[in-house]
Amino acid sequence: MNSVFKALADPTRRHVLELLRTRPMSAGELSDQFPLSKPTMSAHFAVLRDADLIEMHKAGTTITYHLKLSVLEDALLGFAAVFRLGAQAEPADEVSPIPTPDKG
Amino acid sequence: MKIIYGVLWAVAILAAALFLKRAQHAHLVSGDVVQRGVEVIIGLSFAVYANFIPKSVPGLKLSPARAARVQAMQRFNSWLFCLAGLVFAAIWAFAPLALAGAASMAVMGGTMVVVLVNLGFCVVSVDRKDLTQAH
Repeated sequence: MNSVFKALADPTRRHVLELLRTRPMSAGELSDQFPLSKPTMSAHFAVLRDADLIEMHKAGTTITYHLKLSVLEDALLGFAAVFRLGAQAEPADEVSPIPTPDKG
Repeated sequence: MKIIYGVLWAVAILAAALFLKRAQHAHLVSGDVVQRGVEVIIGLSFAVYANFIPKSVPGLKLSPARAARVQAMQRFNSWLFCLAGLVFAAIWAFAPLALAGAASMAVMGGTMVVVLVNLGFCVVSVDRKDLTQAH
């Protein structure tokens, strides 16, 4: 449960979950919604996966994320959004970007 | 692992029911309390089970439109089941016994009807969307 609270404490991760509420989205689609680097977004996705709040599905080169919130976690997300938990904190300041391998 | 949790949960429910029955035989509680206790446990079990329904993701290999519709249907139904379980437990905990049976059945029956209608709409709308996209 600690990992769930940690995941929900960050506004960026909460926004990711709110986007996934509408429909499953690819990693690229999600990353395009934020002014953050892809490694930072990958780190956020990893925190959400560790908390078992999202499910990753890989089809070819496309990674799609699906929402995996229990009713209680869904309610916690709603409370966190209403009370703007962690809104004062700088988004993404507690995650280390996951380095991407050089393609060049 | 899920089976082990399920078995443990079932054993806990049976143990609680047995404990209440033994307490009744020992004249510690009345028959009404036993009935209320067992029904409250059933309602709470239902709510706990419904809480975890969305943890199984059924739409991993579906098209995006179908996956979105299935996800929305699953979230709505699990919220409804969870609230119905809590209301069922609350009715048996606080309502007069003469009313509790009919009221709790009405809640569960109504929930089942809404869930089935929602499921039907999901199947129909998804098929139409997929047909539209195919053309």
